[in-house]
Amino acid sequence: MSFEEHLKQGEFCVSYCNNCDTAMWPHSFLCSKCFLKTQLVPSTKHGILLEYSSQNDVIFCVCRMGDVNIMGRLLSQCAEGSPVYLSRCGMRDDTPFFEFTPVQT
Amino acid sequence: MTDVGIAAAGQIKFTMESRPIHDILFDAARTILTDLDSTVIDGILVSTNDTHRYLGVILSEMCGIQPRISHTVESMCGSGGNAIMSAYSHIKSGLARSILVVGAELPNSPGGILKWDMSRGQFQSPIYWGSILTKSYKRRYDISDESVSTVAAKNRSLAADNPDALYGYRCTPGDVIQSKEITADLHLLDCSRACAGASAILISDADTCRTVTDDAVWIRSISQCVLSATFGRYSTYDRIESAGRAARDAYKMADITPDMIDVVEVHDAFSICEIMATESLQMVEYGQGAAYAHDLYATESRKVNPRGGILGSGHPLGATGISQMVEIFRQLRGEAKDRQVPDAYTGVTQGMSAAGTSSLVAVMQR
Repeated sequence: MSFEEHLKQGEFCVSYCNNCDTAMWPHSFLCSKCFLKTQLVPSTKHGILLEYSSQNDVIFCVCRMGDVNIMGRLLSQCAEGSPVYLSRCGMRDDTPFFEFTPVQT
Repeated sequence: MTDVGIAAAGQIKFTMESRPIHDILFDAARTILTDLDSTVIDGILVSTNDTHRYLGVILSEMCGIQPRISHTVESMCGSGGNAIMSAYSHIKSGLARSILVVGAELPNSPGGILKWDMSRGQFQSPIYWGSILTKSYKRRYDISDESVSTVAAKNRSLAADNPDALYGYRCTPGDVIQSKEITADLHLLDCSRACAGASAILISDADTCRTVTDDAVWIRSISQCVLSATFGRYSTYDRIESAGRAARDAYKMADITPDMIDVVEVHDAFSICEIMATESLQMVEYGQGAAYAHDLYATESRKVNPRGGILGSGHPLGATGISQMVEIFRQLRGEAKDRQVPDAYTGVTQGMSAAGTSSLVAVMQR
């Protein structure tokens, strides 16, 4: 399955190079270091809120999950540096979407 | 290797009018060709994000020129700077002696969106990365909305003295704050606007420059830094790291220090971008860019973005980098009329693409 097909099923994957032990994002079929083939592996769903802003009632943010940063919607407000998890993702009109929820501590 | 200079430059007024892209390119080229023996031109480069193909060669034919080199350069908002860098390289290498670089864009250009960058998720419009940078900077340095908006007030007011600008009216930081809220961290007047526009510049070797004009402006250096294509690769969102690296290389190549800069055009796609750019260019320390913008505004200084920058002039993507250099050309020759910076000798341009994931800095001197 392609990255997009995984995402359509609600699964966020990153490319992983077994040779370099490195994850790549955005996904790529070849490793950017050794140029060998990568494989898609499910990403961790847990991350940290790096920054956010809002537009009307929509909070948008940048979160760091493992080694990758992603922009998405933050479903309720929390402070920068707070733990979040990727509660939903997918494709809508050929555009990916990501939704994050603060982790209750 | 030969010195490389700007022998001539021109541009047309920026508008919201939609015309055929080749017409607007030709219109800008005409501003140079009217007073030039076109046989000196052996290259024509076009910079644009427009989807029409073969525009470099089409423009060559429209201009009645059969150049040795002609192609189109696309690199999103930084297309113009990249085309100039290509022309500079061709001439420096001896591949060409004189290249006409023409940039153009229409209001509906697709160049503002990089769909490949999945790290932006559903937030593809530039206003989202602009908001993230603004919020991050304000939080890091405890800066108010009004301090950030001083940039927009300054540049939109400066554009009042630029007859080629899309806008041109005096405004205050209060006016910016009271303009429509686009996001919690951006007001309408903090945002540049895509528009129609075109500009042209003739880049030549030293001998050709001297046959065309006795008042050439010399390109002392040009440097690009590419960090990534992905906004998600930023290591910190409170500065534009690519601009800092490009500036360091450009200063070293030109053998100048930041205190020697008399006039600069920076890529103020959003108010925060000028603040970050002046810091990246080492004109002020990190965290001092907003205070610097306030000083410029309070003293009515024209040192930074004298034509009104992108906020005041409008943002025809493919033309923007060239228009920045056209302005520096005019400033260094003392031809900037009401917006002239007195005794300008050293000028700098800074452009960037795709949320600042890459930047280009050039140093010019009289």
